Amino acid sequence: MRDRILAMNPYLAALVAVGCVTGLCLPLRAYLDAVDVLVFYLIAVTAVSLLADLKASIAAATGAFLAFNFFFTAPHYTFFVANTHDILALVTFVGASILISRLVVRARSRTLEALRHGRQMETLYRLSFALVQTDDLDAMLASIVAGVRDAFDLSICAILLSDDEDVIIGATTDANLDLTADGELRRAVSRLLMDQQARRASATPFPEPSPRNVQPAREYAGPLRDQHALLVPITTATERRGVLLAARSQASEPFNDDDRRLLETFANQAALAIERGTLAAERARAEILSRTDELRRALLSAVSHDLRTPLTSIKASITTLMQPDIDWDEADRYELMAAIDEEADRLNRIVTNLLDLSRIEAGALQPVRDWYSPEGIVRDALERLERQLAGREIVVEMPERDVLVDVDAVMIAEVLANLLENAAKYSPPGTPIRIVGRIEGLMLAVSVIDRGIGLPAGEEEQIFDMFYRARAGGRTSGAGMGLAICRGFVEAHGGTIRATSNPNGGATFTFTLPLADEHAAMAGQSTPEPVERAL
Amino acid sequence: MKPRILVVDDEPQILRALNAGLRANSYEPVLAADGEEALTRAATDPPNVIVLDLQMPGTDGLEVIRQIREWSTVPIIVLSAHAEERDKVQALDTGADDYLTKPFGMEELLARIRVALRRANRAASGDPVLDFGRLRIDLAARVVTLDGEEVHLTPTEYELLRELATNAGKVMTHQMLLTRVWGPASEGSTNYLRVYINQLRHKLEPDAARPRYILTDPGVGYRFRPAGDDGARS
Repeated sequence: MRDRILAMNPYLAALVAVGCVTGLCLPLRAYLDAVDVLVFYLIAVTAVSLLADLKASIAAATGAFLAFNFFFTAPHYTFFVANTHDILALVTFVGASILISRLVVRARSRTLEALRHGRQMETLYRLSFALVQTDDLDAMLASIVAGVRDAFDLSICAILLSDDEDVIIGATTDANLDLTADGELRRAVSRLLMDQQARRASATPFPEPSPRNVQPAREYAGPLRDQHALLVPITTATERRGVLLAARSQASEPFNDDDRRLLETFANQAALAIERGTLAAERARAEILSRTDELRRALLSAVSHDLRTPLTSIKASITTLMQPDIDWDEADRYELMAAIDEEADRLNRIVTNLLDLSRIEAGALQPVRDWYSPEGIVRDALERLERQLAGREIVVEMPERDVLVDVDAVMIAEVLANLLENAAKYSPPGTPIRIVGRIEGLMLAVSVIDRGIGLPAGEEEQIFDMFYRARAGGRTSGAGMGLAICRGFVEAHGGTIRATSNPNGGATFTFTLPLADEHAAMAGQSTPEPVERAL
Repeated sequence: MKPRILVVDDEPQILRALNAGLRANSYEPVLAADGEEALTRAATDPPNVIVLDLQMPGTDGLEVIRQIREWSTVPIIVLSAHAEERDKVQALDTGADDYLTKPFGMEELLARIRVALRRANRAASGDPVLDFGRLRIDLAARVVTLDGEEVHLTPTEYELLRELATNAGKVMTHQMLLTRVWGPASEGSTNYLRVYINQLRHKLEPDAARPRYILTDPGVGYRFRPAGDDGARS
């Protein structure tokens, strides 16, 4: 604060100091020796040099010289000096003032320099730690520009990166200032980026000073005018990746050699960060690719196994039936025909599942919603699975209060059918399956509960993954598509699905569906359609 | 007595279809839904041929082959859902005799079963002369004749032919042939093998480009077409 006031007007400080001494000493002129007064002035000049710069000190010394001459040397109130002793004192005073001022100013600027340097080193140190904490390039660059701004008292610090042929802002301390809009700056940055040959490039001032005696063709009028601006190339081991822009207001010190060196160090930090960030991004991309690849492999293996199994049954059955000279008894013949029929259905289901899955994957699921009674959907699903559920007791419990759900009935029937088929597959024939509906807030939670082998511990989440097959025990027919489709369909309705093992055996699959907002409808607020439209 | 065929597959629909097809063709199918059951059934009702699915949960097909080969030479025909060579070759190297890729026609399975049964019977007979119609191999005298004319073979060619012919109908993988003909330490490549197969074909086959005795199973190995085999292959 003090520094800032002094920096704004150091001469004011000189004036105040000289004025104070003059004002204090003038009434006491009769009691003071001329040399005593000069000592007071010397103290004032020293004080000014401590607080302000050399120019102000010299101004203070000059002021003191004039004030002493005017007020304290005989004859008073003239600049005429009668006494040779006084002349000697004055000359000594001026010499001493200048000497002391220079010493004080130099010592002070060294101290300031050391302090600033210390702060810069600390920033560098903190930055190097901050950069290890993250792999995120944007975060790393942001902490670099913020650190550099603080360390160098910059008005703006930014990192400009090359993006193909263009220049983009990698990070900036002033998001409001669009540096890339400044054509001259962009050209200067491009020039530096283009210059890949220069192995070790040093900081260059911006705008580049025109050669002596040559008037610049056009005055630079960009956002960095009236600023000391430096462009420091950011060079990784292999290529130049960007430029660090540092600018501070023209009122403050220009960048010295130490600043440049340190800024280059920061630019190297940025280069490391960029390299690391790029590597991390590449790693992430590779991971995604390998996951996609994994999925593709799983899909291929699923298709190869699950399409081929019904095909195998069909082909074996048909080629058996086609054999000449065989006396078929009616039962065997029917058996083979039934197998063909069922396996054709199964093929159809697998193809439907694959299509559904690809729609889920592509995010192209558009539920055609309307209001339906859950009982109707359950009935629909049960009818579809008549054969698989033959010989089982199916217990359906729905909420006492009649409710409607706001869903795509085809999709939800498919979800229920998949869960029921699953329950039938993984529980002993003849054991009952329960379907229980409960109201949970604004949702209807539907559970399918079997008395089968339950779920492998710890895999309750994974079973909903695409092409996942339970690892431990049991039959693993089915392509691991059913549950993934269930999750996709339920989530498309804003619901959730989860699976748990029952404490006394068997598994429970529960999914939630949005209840129809009847009250809103009756008040005619959210939908104009009458309630009777519901099924 | 009807030959007993043990069919092992974890897909009930496939078991159902094969059961009906085999019964209609006067075989006695025995069904097993997994590896454990297969091993039990193979021990209690020794089958004449085993038809085995490779990909099963729990004890898989390879493990079943390994365990059965510890005490039995019963022909094993492997069913594989994958068209992947690796699975097939591994199964054959482990001791399977033949393979079929799903889906397959019933005629083809029946043909493979017939070959397997014949081979099992011949192995039991111990006749030193192998008769393939025009081609005869006298194992005792180490003499090969084609249309009554003696064919001169180098010792390696003869060994290779002997391996193939004594296992007629069975798929011999590259690795099997290299190990048995050139010795266990041989590091011969399949190219090496291919050269000798070519020489044999030139000496034995009426048309080397369309062989009728030594057939190639691409990527897997070679098989000698047994006498009377119609060569029904898809």
